[in-house]
Amino acid sequence: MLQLAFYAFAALTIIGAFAVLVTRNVLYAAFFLLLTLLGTAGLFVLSSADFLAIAQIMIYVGGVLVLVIFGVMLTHKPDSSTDVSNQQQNRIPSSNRRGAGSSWVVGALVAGSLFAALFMVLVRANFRLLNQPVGWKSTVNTIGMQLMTEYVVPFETVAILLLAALVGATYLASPLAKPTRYATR
Amino acid sequence: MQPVDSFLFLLVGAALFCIGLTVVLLKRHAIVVLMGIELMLNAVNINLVAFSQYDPDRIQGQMLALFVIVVAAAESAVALAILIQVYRHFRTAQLDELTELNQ
Amino acid sequence: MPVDTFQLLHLLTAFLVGLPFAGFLVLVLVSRRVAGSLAILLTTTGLILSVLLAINLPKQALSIQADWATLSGLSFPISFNVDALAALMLVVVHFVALLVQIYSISYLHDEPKLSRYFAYLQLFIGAMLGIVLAGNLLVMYAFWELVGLASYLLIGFYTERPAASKAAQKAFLMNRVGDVGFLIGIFLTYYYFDTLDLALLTANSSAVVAPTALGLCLFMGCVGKSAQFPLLTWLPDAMEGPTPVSALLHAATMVAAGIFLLARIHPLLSPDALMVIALIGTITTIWGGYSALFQTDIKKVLAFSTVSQLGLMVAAMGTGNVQGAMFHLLTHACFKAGLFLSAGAVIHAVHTQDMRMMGGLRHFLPTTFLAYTVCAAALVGLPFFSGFLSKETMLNGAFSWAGEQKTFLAYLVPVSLLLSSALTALYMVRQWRLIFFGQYRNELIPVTQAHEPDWLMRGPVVLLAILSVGFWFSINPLSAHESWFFRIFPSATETTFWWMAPLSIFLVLVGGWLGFRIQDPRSDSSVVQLSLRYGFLDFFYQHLVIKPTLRLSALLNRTDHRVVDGLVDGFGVSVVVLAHITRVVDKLGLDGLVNRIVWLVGRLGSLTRSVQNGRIQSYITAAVVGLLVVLWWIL
Repeated sequence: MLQLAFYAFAALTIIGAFAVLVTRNVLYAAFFLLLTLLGTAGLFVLSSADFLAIAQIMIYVGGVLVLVIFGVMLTHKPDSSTDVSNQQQNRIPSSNRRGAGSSWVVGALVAGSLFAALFMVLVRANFRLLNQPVGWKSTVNTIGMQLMTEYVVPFETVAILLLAALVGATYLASPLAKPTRYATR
Repeated sequence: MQPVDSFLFLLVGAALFCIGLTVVLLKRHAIVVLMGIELMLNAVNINLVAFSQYDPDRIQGQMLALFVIVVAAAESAVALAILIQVYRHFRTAQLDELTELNQ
Repeated sequence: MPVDTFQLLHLLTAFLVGLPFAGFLVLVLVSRRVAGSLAILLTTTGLILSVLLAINLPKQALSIQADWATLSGLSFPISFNVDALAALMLVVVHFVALLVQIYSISYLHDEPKLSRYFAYLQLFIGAMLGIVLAGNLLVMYAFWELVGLASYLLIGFYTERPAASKAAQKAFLMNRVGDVGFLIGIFLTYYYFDTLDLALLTANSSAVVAPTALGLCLFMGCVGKSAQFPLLTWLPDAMEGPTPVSALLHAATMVAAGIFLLARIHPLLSPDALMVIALIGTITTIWGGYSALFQTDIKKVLAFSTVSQLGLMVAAMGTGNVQGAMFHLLTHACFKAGLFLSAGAVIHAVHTQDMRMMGGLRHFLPTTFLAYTVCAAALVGLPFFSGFLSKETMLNGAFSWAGEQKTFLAYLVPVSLLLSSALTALYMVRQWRLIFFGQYRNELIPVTQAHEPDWLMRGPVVLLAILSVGFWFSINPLSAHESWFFRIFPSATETTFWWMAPLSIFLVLVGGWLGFRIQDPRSDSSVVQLSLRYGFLDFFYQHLVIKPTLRLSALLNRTDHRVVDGLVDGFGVSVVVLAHITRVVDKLGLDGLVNRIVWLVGRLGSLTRSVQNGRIQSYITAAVVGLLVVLWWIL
């Protein structure tokens, strides 16, 4: 049963990611990314990380993905199509430069060989850890404890980082941020 | 219940990472490239969480994954903001049209 | 003494050093309106704490040690040391810094970079306290360099003036020359004594006589920082900074760091080194005094008088009179800061630094006039003023030292010192006359605009003038022997020459009369030029150091040209030869090969061009491929 669930979620993840790779529509890519993220959350649950799974769904699906979709909407070319219902406006224009196919070959080659390398490492590395038995228990308590004790400094730091990033993003995205202001000095 | 072999988790992580890398390498739309980066981060998280099972007391892997998620959120916010500025400036979000470095 | 009080004092010391640095960091950030009051609050706290520390000082010196660095078994601790001398300096530095900062609030009230100014001042105070409290030479060196940095920042504070940046660079470079000597001296000290701890060094030095070179190298630091003879020209140029800065750094405290260093390392100095130090000090005092004679800039006169007084202190150190020199350092800090602040008030009133444009100001600036007169009287050493007491002590020490030397030539030192005190009277009275007497000589700014500054500026000046009266230091106006200072620091030499006081008073009066009477000779006469350009010292530097350096670089440049040009020429010739050969080969019918090469080169070019296409993704691809190669290599 557990095995079955694992394979289902793994398939969801990989297929979603693959669809992101092959689709030519940015909006579709965003939705396939959603599938992948959901699959990842399922994998988290299967490896006894329930809190992280919820966090994954809330942050990625609720936050990042919405952000991405906003980004897609804000950066489509307004002059490319007057028809709003036309789905073609989000299409990634097919490349007209020479060697587009060869770039796919190069990319697939690079990624494939990287995967091969990683696979080799995984097979060769005899993780002694993986032979130990694992139990399943909720990690919410432990995470709360750890965040307030051992990881309190990273916790606060990451809070400040997040705040700074949000302020920075707001500033950057606002139309007031003129890059020319810095050109004078 | 028979727990799932962690090796499979690592394998899925590796595959996801490679797909994410391919997306980053091949896609022309900057937002899709960002999605690829998110995929790679997720792959790393899967690895971390898989190893974290064997450390139920301190769950360092999960903690790190948590921070990775938060930082990824911050990163994507900033990256999208930059992207919007870039889009305003160049009127495009296609990476192969942004070849300022070429000049 | 109970243990907890002891710990409290430790804590207090650490706090004292840390406070200004924290102030520096905070003040950089705060707005200019609160910066001044915040800085004054910090320094007031520091002053109160240091007074507390000075009162509660235990009998034996207090020392704090903490591990800093351990290099291959040798540990270099960071250590602080509080003794009576350090406590005294703490109070002096804080006190003068406090007055100067109060003064600055008004003097620089419309300066836009005010918070940065106060931040630099705090940095300076912290560094100076570090020097004062340093328990070993390495720590002292660190703070020594920080003082140099703070001084650089403050001299060049008016970044919009090229002269200020130049002066700052000059001061920095000249200080570096001295500091290199100081650093070598520190290395030598470690080499000979295996320790840099000042207390241990002082205890050991009676057993082992340190070599002369060691003492002289350490003295180099003092030469740079205290503007002694070969390196004195930066101090007058440093007057480009704001006037309160001149008062604090270049009169009262920073230049005193060199003197303080000498007091700390005095037991390490061999008799020969002391002789050299006395000579350098004497040369400096005469040189500075003479250079001050015909200056027209009000601050430059004071700067050279500082140089001269520092020479006096160094000479006193050289004659073994540490206590006398420190006493003069104390009195000098008060009256010279007072003089500079008064000069600032004058500049504030008439908006010029040229004394030829002043005159008759005693009617318009009565308070400043009074304070200036008192401080100047202390500087020239009139009886009843503080300068008299310390000068007497130093001159007495110098004469008794000369009596102990083998050669009669040693009397040259004290006699020159006497002469320099007459010179002091000469230039100070000349300046006094030019500023406050005669007719007002500036047509551009009407004299009616000249007015006393507000009490924020007048207060510190008046306070410093009051402290320049001899009464505070000694009840007996003609001798410093009953002074509280010498009860704390018992003096080694007790000899007093009966003829000393009348003689020096006579010399001062003669110098003063001359200064009031004689008119300035024409400004192009060689006497005046010699003074104005400080004995052509900069001229010598220009010709002996800077020009040869430039010439060397030009020479290198030329050889570079020749060698490189030769190479290029040779390359060209060989290419021509090659072309001829190719032509011959071409003629022999190998067109195809040539075309092949051209095609290959073209392909290579387009290949490399396609790599450098400006697309981020291809760069990432290249990076990943590189990673893969490395990965395969490892596996």
